Amino acid sequence: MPHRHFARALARLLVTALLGGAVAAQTAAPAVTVESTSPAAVLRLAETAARALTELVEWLGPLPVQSITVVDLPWAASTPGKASPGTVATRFRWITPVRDLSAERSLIAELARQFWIAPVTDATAPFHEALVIYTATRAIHRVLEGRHFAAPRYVGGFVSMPVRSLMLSHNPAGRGAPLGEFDEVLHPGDAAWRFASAADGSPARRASVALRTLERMIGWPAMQQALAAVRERAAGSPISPEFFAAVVAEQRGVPLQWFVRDLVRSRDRIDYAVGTVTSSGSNGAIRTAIGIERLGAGVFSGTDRPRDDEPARTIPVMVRFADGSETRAFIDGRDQRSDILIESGSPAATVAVDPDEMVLVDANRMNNGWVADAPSDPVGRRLIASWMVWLQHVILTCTALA
Amino acid sequence: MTHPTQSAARAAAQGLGLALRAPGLLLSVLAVTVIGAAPFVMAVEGPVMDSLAVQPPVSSLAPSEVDPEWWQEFQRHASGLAATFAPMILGFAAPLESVSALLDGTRRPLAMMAPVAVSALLWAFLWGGVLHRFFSGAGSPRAFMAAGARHFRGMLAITAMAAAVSVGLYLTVHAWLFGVVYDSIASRVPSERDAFLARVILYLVFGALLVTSNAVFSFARIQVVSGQRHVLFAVAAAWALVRRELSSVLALYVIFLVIFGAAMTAYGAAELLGGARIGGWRAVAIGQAFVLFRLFLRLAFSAAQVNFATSVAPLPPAPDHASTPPA
Repeated sequence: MPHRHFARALARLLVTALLGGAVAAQTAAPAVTVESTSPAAVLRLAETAARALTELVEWLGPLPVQSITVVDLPWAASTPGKASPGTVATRFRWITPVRDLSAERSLIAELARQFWIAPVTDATAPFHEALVIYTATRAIHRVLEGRHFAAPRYVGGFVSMPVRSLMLSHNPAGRGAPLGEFDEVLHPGDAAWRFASAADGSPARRASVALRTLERMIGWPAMQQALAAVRERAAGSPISPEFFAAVVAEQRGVPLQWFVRDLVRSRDRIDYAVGTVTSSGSNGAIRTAIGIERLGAGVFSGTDRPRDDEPARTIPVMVRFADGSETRAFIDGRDQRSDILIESGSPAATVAVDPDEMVLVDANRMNNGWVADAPSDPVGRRLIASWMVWLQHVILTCTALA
Repeated sequence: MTHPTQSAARAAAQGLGLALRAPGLLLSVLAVTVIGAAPFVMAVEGPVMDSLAVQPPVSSLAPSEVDPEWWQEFQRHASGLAATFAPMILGFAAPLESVSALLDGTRRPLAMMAPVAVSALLWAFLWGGVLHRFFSGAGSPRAFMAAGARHFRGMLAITAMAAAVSVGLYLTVHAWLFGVVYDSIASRVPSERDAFLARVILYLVFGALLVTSNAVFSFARIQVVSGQRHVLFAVAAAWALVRRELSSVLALYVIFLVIFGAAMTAYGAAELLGGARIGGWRAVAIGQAFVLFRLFLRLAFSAAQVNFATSVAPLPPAPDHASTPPA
């Protein structure tokens, strides 16, 4: 229809002139052109694309293209996500409140993919996909930090209702790579345009979590330098996890074979859990015995030193006592069971394996903690009350039908 | 001859007035709803509190905010009722999700069968007392309890039949409308807005079937309270009434659906515009108040149906069996 073509052309002109050109002049980021019939979509997508590209270029180095065209797919076109060099396809839904940034999340994911487009082999495809998932997730957290919320869709998926009390990227200081994952990055998991499947339990998903675990260990500055170096050295050729680990090892002067062997290549489930906690004694002389168990066959070594040497202090265990004091012990992640004995003035109240959430490859973190008597958390009380209200709504709706 | 809309509007107004004059009944029904939900709340509380107790605190969160990373992790490993612990429980999302699930026929986790079954049993008892109250005007707690006990079996049978019909409709008509029919339309329309419009029309088609089924079984309950001992005869009489007065019955439903829709819109708008001011415990209080409002509408609707049924086909006065022991 003529008015749609006119709107697209106008949007293209405006955005290229106002945003793309300016961005290209200030940084090495490509210029951005947005094709959409919705003026709101043009502004939002252009602004996000410019910011995301600036950030990603700063992290990973320049893209081989001079401009990026963002296409807001029309209704009934195939699902967004597909990316070819210089073009990304996204979808800006009809009912999209200002706090629903799912279109932006989808766009950032596709822009991140631009940086890893390369011919891949069967052996390197999952790691390539993992690099996309990892950088896309990180870029979303960074670019949309403090302003994007969970926005479930209702009524056939047409009505979006952002949940203001559930901000998705709140930047907790000092915690390293954010834990949160995004549907816009991971779904559809088996799309043909992915380098490899990103479905639950796939090698690519495991490798992406391994990358986040590594970031939590070595920090973002080191990780960012490694990613940029890997991309530069690969120069468009396939990137294997061994190549990536070699670059990181070279930069840090520490071998990282365990990273590839335990976290990326292994399919074994990694799961650490608090097994037993017993406190005995009295009169201020309490002995607390803690048993930490490795439930899965998978291992988080954290080192390439042989186990026969002195145990590696790879996974911290935090113990908080009833008097409020706290201490930390360390276990070797290769051990099937680790026993910790602590003498203190009061019995243990809380025990947590990996309390700083470093070992993100741990398949079940819900068994990482033990509490003598769970305190009534104020946030928990409010959530439980909210759940009760929701349950009443469900009951009222269901009983209206019967 | 009275216009269908007029008789429906009069019944609706009378129903709203009767419900307004029964605050004790409303609070009692609320108490039963809360008590019915309480055991399941306790089942969910343990896993949530245990999980939060070993969670590292996040200092950058505002008091009304929840750590999304904890939530994502909790959801990944939760099972049973705890698996329903999702962002949809917060604020306006709670009623929106329940209405959306009704429209889309969203399948609930199997664990939800327990609270729904308990509530169905409780309401099978409550219906007898509530309808007796509006039918006879007897407002004493003793009369309420006696009527609830006396009509429990009949109400339970009607609830079972209504549930079976609803499930049947969802498994057949809903599956066809929102499967083959909707997919075919959605792939042909040029815009998302048109697809939404098509979906709304299909909601109306399916909603009309649900309303008809609901009307038959609601009026059957009134028949039982008015003295009809055989449930099947009560359903047959209700079916005849709905067929005879279809336009008035539909008008009555439309009136109450419009009231409910307006309240939902106001709630949603308030949450969108109110921002952080209606977060935290305030959001919980507003949510509970909205549950109270839904219960009020349910009582008012029941009263309106009783009024309507007695106005179009005078029923025999309900014998007051308050002094007789429950059957």
